[in-house]
Amino acid sequence: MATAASEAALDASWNAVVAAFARRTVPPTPPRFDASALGVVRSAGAAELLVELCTEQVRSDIAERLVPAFWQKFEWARAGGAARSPRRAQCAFFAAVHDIVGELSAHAAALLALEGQLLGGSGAREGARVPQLLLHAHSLLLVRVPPGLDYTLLAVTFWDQSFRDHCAHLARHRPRRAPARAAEPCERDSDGEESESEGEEEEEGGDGEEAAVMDAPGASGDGLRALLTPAHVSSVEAFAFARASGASAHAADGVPMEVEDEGGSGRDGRRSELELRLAAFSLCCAQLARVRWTAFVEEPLQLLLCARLRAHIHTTCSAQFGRRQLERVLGWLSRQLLPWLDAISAAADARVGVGWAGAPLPPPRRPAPPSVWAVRLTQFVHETFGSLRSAELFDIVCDFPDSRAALLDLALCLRHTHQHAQLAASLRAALENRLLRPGVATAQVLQLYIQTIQALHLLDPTGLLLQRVSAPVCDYLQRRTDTVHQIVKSIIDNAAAPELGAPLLADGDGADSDADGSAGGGGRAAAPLDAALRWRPLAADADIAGSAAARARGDVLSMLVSIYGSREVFVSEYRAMLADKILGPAGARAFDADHERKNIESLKVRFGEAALQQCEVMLRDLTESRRVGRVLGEAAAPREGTLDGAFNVTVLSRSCWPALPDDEGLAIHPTVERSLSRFERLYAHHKSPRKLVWKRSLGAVKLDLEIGGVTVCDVVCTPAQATILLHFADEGRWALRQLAEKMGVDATALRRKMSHWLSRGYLVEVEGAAEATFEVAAHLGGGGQELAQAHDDDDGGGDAAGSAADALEREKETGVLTAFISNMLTNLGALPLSRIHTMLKMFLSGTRKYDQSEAQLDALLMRLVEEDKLEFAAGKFSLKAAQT
Amino acid sequence: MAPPGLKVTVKRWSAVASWTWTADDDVCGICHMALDGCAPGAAGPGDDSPVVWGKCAHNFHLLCISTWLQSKTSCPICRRNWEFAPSAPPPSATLAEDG
Ligand SMILES: [Zn+2]
Ligand SMILES: [Zn+2]
Repeated sequence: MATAASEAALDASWNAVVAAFARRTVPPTPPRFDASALGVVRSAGAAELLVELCTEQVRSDIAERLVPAFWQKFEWARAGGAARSPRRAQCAFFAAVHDIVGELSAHAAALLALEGQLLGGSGAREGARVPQLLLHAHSLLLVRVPPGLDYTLLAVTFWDQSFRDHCAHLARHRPRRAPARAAEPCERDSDGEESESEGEEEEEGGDGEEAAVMDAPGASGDGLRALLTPAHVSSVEAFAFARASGASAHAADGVPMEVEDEGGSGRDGRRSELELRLAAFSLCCAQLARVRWTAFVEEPLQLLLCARLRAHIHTTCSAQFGRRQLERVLGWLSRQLLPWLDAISAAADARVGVGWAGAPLPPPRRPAPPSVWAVRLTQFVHETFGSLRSAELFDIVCDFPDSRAALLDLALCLRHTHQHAQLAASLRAALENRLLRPGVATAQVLQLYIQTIQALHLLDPTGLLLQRVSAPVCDYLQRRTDTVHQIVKSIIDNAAAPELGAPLLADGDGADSDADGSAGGGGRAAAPLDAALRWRPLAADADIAGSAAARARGDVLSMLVSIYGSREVFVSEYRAMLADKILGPAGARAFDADHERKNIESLKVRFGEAALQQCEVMLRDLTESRRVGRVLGEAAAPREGTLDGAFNVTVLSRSCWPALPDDEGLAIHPTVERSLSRFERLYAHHKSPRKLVWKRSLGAVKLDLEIGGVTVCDVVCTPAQATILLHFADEGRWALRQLAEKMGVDATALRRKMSHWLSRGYLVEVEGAAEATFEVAAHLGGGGQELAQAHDDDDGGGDAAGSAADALEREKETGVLTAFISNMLTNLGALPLSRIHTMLKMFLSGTRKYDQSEAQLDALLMRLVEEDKLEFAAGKFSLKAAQT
Repeated sequence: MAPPGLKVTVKRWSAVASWTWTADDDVCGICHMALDGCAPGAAGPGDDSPVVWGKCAHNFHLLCISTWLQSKTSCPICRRNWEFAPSAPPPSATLAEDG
């Protein structure tokens, strides 16, 4: 009986306690348990069991009611709805968190009270149940995300909207400065369209407008008051009120929550939309922290922060090489993002909050402190910025030295991220894909290589980076036949300007710091290659890295020269160029010796006095020849059948000239031969003990010719070609073999020389002759008065002619392509490379078939950009700012 | 035969030749460089590297033989006593022969 009675008592007590436990309220009021009922349960030894049972009840309540209710609030957001109405997502997120945390804290409060009163400090697991429950609820939430709902997107949207609110708040409370040009660049949040400051009028309206839109409650039906239930709104308002009145106690709060008039809250007691939203956000953060759910949202938060930073970096910095950008980004981080994180952190610390009074929950798990975020995000900025600039490095190099700022930024990033290998690989690839192509002129390759050297020196004074990048370029330049020619040409093309004659290869210090051409900036257009050649690293920089700096200390020219192993090739190239000029079609008479003397002087400075000695002899030969020509011309009496005044001779010092042809066999026309031998005898007489050896194939002839009453004036050709014409003037028709015999050359060679005249229509092949026979054309074709600029296409140069023709063909093709592209861009605005590529493939077919690879197209487009025909920004090509 | 239909007027004829010494040897027997080239240490060929004839008909750069004669008195080729010839042998052709 006693057992039955006590059993009944226990039952009654048990039920009383369970009922009391179940009578939770939201907001929670600690449940009142009947002390005697507790005593009965405790004395029956069922205390632990009862607590377990109640815990189990809570557990099932979480699983069956709270979690479904949580996700129920996002029913509308499935299948991308969250992205479509971010405001609604923000409010739903807030409401869902608010409700579930309210319920959970009621459970927790009840459970803690039960534990405390029933177990009285004796329970083995007392105090552990609540955190376990919270964790359980958390995992359950994540496991039960409804299919079709992108939770991450939802959470990111929540953070993103809150961040916008934060920015709007900052904008509103930023002290208005009268002049737009403020010490600190004013930046706006939002969709990356930060004003490009400096000199640009800051749009005062921008932020205010956005804030105004956000502030208009329900204007577009997405005001907080419209989207939340009145209970939620009043909860938020109470929270905001509590914070405002207790503001002094929470001064650490990152968002300065001024109680001052904000949208008229002071007067009518209604808080502005923005203010409400900020309060809702803080409350939400506090709640999340209170139930230790920060991890629940921290990953989306990090996602958002990174996305925000990445977007900010890409929109404000990409292709902007002219100014330092990194610092601005870090400034943005610390002015916009970090205060927000501070606010989140501070909210998590907040002890005020409706529904929290007296709930003795375990201390909140704080989100990662702002300092951790700051470090993490700063590193992220460095990485993202570094990657962006690494990917853009080729363009940066193209812009050098205007892109110095970008390089300094990148150097700073590298110090944090050590992305050197990645950077070297990507630049190397870009150089190979975009620079080392047949369509790019050697001078351009050189120019860019020099800029690469200079740019990489800024990034890495040790020169190791350059070493990794330069090999393919050097190999390529070495394979290009005209590299040496281009280098020498650029040196002497600029030799006329005396200020460019600064020493380059002078050993020792680089103390003449003005040699750092890059420092001045902007001088690139004025004196392209030569100015670049004069560049050398600053000695101070070079000293940093000890022995490795030796590599970097050399100037650009010696680096280029090192491609070839010696400076001799450059001097002999110049010698060849000089020889061509003196002996070329214009002839020695037109040769400007003074100009060339200046060239030699400037080359001497670079390659040393001794190396240029031969070239000086070449010039001396020329002046001496002129002198001798004058003397001998006076000595010789005019004579019939010779050329007399039209005749001049250049006498070369054999050993100082490039290899001269051995053309003993060639016989010039007898009229001229007479002049030659006359001159030869006079020379031998006057210059004894010297004598002449004729180089009959060298030299140039200018003549007028008349065919069928049509005169062609000033035809320039080689002596051999002139001889052919002279023979045809004597006899109108020649068998090839006969003429070859007469001229002392073989028939094949003669035919080649004759092709010069055949192609012009002066001579024609006789049809149906027994052997190859040619005769003077009966009359000249349509282009009779053409002023033929004849070039010697028979000796050497076959290759050059071929490649020139190829290049011409290519140019024609490119022209069509260019026209088409510019049409397309006129109609369609800016397009990315891939779009252009696809469109070309689509539209160019048939005879004008488009068969270039995307990389080739890229190279072409970049060339057009370089030629200022196109613009490239944010990954898209467009026509150069509508030339109005 | 039809009269030739082509008439050519030469307005300018720039011919090219190289000069050399009227010597039998091509190279200097002392420095083994071309006689019409540059003697070691000379600024250039020609007047800067004059060539001399010995009575033995051997020729050298003036610079080279002068250095040689500081220690020796014989021709470095034929070992005969070195004596300067007054001038080069006269050129094979004279002006008078001209037509
Ligand atoms: Zn010698
Ligand atoms: Zn001798």
